Amino acid sequence: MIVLENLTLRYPGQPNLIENLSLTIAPGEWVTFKGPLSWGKTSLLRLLAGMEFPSSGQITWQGISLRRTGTLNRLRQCTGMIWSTPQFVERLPLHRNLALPLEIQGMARHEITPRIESALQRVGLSEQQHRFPQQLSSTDQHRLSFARAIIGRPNLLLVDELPSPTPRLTSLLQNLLDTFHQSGVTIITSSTQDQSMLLPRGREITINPVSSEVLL
Amino acid sequence: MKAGRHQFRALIQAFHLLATHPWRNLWLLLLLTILLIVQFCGIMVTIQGESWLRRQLPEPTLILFMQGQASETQTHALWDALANQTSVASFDTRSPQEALNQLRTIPGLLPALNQLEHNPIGSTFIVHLRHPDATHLAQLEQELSLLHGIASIHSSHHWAQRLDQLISFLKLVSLGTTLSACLIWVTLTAGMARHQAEQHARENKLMRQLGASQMYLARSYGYEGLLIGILSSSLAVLLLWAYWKSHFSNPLPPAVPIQFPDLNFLATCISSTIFASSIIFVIAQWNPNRK
Repeated sequence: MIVLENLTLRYPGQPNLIENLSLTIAPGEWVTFKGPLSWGKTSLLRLLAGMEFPSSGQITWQGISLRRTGTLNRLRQCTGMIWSTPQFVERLPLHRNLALPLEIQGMARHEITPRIESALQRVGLSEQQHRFPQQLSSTDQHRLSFARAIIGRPNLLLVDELPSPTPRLTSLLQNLLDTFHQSGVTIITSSTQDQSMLLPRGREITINPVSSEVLL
Repeated sequence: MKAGRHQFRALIQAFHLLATHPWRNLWLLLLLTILLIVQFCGIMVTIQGESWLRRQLPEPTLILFMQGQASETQTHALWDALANQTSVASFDTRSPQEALNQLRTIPGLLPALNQLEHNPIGSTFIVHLRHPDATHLAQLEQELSLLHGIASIHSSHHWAQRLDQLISFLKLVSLGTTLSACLIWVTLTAGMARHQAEQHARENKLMRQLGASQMYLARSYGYEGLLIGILSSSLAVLLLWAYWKSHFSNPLPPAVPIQFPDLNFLATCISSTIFASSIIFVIAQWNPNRK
């Protein structure tokens, strides 16, 4: 259960990006944040990932505030994140990049290897596991970020909108998210107001910071 | 089990970090080694320099001139007084006749000595000291002058004073050099750690997004510092030992108590360097507020 209480986000010298947002996301729910560009959808996802802290209000996960470092680390360990610009450790090949979340969780090598193989197979990168991230095309980098998001068998998936994704990539992501949602994983995505890359699922929340309203 | 895995992975990560910029790290490692050599030499000189210097110089002596022939009681009193002094290594006596005979051996003095009606020289005590400092020497001289029958005391008091000054200066210089080298070493090590952390800032940020704690990230930096500490201090000690072997071990007699490389000293130097290096690496890159 993720609870957002009176959440306000403001960057120095700028008006509030998110104002007084209160929201409860139940386990297994699929929530989509909708709104025009630069209206705080990605910032909201970043807040949920603990990459930003709210100017006021708080986010709790299983009843514990995300401001607590231990809670944040635990949340991140069971969260898969897919960002519009994926980032990897460039000095490590694909399979080592995928091993990182599992290594952080303290998993043994013999458990990690089959998980990597399975994740790479699901996103269609099995043949390229010894290549380095910068050697991949933009589409394949997104595939790799999907694989990294799902490899830890997360309870929560945060999915930012991808910039101009190919139909195959969208289809792959849709299938992955549908599968995980069916197995009870909470999914939070963001999408622009008019055109969404993913098919509508679950609850849609329109964020409208100008009028300080959250339309549920 | 899980903690052990984390430790092992952190160690592997430390090797990766060091291997990322091999040439730059090699130069820094050599620089750190040179600084450690200066530090170790400085500590050596500060701790053992005084005893080494004193042992290179002749032992100071006190010569006690008695009024005439010393009686048996006077001799015993003097022996007792000298035997109680820890700074006295040994002493021997010269009777008036022995002293006169010794003077006769000096060329040109014989005619003058032959004209003497009686022997004017009193008994003499020659006291060999265990390298006392000037204050101690003056105190001993004062105590002995109070004994009955002492005509005068000849001592190398001024020489001891100068030696003390020289030793103080030597200690000050070596301590200053050690501290300066230590300061540069700490700055350089911290800079190296900081640079390493900045180089991998993006990577660390990503690791934190994947759920790595600050401690998880710090561990690999701690190991990196540990590796640098082991490599640089071992290299420094090895070079010092080789230099010592080739230059100093043969000419010095075995009785000289300075032992370098002394195992305890070397072990302390290496372990303290490793510990300090590891701690500096962790502290220099530690920032709990990073998101």
